[in-house]
Amino acid sequence: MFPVMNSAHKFNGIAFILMLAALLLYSLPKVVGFAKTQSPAEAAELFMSGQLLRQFEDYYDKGFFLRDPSIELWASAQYLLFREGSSGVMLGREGWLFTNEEYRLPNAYQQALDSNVAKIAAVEKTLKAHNKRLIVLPLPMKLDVYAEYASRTPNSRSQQLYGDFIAQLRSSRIEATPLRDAFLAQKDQQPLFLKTDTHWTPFGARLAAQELARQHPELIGSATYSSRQVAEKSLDGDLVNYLQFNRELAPERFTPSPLAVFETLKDNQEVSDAALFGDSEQPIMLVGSSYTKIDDWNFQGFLKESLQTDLQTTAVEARGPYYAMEQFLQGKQLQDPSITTVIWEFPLRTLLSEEPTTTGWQVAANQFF
Amino acid sequence: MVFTSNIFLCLFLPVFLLVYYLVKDSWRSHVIVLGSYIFYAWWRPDFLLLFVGISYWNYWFGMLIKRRVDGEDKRAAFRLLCLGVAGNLAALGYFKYANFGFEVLNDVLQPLGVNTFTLEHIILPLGISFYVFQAISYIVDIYRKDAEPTTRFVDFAAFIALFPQLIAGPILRYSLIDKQLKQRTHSLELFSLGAARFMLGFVKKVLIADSLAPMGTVILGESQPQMVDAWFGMFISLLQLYFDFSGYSDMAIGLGMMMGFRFAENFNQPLLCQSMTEFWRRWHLTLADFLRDYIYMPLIRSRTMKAEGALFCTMLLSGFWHGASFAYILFGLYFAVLMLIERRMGWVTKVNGPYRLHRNLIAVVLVMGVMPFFITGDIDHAVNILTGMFGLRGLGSLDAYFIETSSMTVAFTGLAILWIILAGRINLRYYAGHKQGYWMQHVGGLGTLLLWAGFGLSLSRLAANSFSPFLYFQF
Repeated sequence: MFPVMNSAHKFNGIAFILMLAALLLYSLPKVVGFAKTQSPAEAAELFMSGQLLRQFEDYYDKGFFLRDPSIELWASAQYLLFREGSSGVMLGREGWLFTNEEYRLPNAYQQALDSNVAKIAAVEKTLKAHNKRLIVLPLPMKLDVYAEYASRTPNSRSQQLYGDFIAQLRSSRIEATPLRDAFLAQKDQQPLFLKTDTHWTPFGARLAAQELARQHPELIGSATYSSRQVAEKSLDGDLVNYLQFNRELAPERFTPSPLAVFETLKDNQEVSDAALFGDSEQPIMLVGSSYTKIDDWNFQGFLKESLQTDLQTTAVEARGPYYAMEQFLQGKQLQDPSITTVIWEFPLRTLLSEEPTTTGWQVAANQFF
Repeated sequence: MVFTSNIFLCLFLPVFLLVYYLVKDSWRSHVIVLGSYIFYAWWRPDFLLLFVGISYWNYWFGMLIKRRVDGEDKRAAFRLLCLGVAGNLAALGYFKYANFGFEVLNDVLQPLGVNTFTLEHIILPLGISFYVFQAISYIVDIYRKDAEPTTRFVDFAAFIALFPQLIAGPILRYSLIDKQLKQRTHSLELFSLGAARFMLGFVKKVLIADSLAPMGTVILGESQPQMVDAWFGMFISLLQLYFDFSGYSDMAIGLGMMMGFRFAENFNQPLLCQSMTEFWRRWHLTLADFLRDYIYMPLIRSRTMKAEGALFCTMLLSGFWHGASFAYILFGLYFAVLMLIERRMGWVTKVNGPYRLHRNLIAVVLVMGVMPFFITGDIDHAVNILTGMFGLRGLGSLDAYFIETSSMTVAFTGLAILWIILAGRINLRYYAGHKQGYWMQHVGGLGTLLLWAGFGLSLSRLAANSFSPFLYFQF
């Protein structure tokens, strides 16, 4: 034949049998445990389609005694050997974490820009047809603003992305409010992004709101809102979820970030009939992603303060800016004539994400499970 | 069920082996059938009916053909053989190719203004391409008098269902395994060898192939691949496929040994090939042998066509066997054309021929050239990758791989390459006449230590990820 294994020491067989016996003894109580979670009628129905066994496998895998130690073992090895976190995070200097989404620069750079601007133009057209003005508010990337804390240098083209996007929006006659210069100018005065989170700090949110108001004074109303810090809390940060290694390996790094909690209230708030029954006009609609949705950043409050007007909001977390805009366009508020301006908070890293592929062998192999 | 799952290792395999070794010899085929049916039904119990149906069909035809062959009624036997094979191919055709066939038909009819057909999406039964081929080999071997039909249905059912190779081979030939179905030797030596082989396959699949998978995903997700990233993606995909499928085959062979079987080998260091012809003498050997004995040779013997025509048809069918799409047909066509050119030009190399590095490199590059069709199964997607490979979008870089994956993945890529080089070196020395004494042939001492260390790491890798499907399940 050809050189393949043709004999093995008996130790291998004996050790393998002992291992299987131990694993079986461990597994039997799990089978009983799962059986107790199912009613016979429900189980029979799920059985024929294979769903019951999938559920059992899921139940078994999640409780498997090797699972958590193994995740930590591999993550710790990766950290010790290569100073890396799990896929999804890039470890930066001085405890800074960055999402790897901001590092992606597709080969189809121009195509990505074109298709996004085309989608935004389509939204703008729809809004225009409903007598609404669109102002896009592109949020700069954390990696772009705090590049000095990145341990891996980002592609130089990604630093042009903000400028290219604004230029292309303007050439398509779409109003945009650039924030990058203000962020770069202010980044040393106050932390604009959280060290261990993908999002901005309340200071970043306030700066964006102030910059919007500065560039669009025509939007400023007459009501006065004030924001004040009411508390401080500590935030682990969403990127910490990708640090699965044993934290004892780096106890001083990746500590939770302190977060000032702000509240925005209307000055001289009067309980008038109009306020009580909601007749006061809210001509501005803020559409956005998690940067708007999460109360910790108080973006909505800062925007009220800066624009001196109340506003309505449609924001969805973890679905990107387009999803929230779709929700708004499909909702009744689109028909509301009192809304005259739509501010679209648009994280720049959206431009770097590509459509997931629908063909390929991994996709095909997964169909069986 | 997948070999590389917690459930298989912790529950199915220990229970199966316990029962298998507790019952007496004459009941072991029953245990194999029962265990294999549970193994198969783990995916979808309802599709077990099809599986049992195909087993009965061929068992019954085997007996009918045998009767005609014994009665010297060659014509009746041939008619029965054709009917039996047609039944198998009808099942394969319906479940694997009907969706594709109707798509093509609709594409043709739509421009003519004819009402198009609609068809509910047909689920592809797991492993159907493999077990249908095995069933065909049974009735053909009986017709050719290469094997005696089994008198017990349970032996035949065990042959078709034998769970170690049920989903993705190695494709068994009845004539090569019929004696083992009736009588097998069980020993601790063989069991130990089987366990070692299983663990080796486990390491190849979980530790290496699965570690390379994120890199393979990068190239599949890239909308405009460029030259460097496209070629690197194809190289990684080829490595991943080899470690995935040969790992599966090692596990199947090892499990077979634990049950007293000796299956045919499926791989012989394919990345050492120096021509496309040699590639198919090193890659998926049981499929290549099946195609040679049941398609290529009959076409030549019957004088239906000459050797080159037979080769062309065989490779085309090989592509179509892999999947119901034009991409797989092109995959077969690619090999067919290259192998014909090799024949004409006298470039065909042999497994035991002299080794030339430049030929090897050219052959591997040519195999990488067909990978876009194979990994995507979609012509547009494949052409997109090929456009990048030909440099029509610029040079590109490997940045995406480093951003989307990790240095650990890169380290495993290095390990995979080292593995290929070492195993390749041993393989070359073997054919150069140094036939004995390779440490990898005997698992003891340091080899045992290394194997168990690798297996332990693989177990922990599997526990961390839980899910590890084999790429060849889709075929």
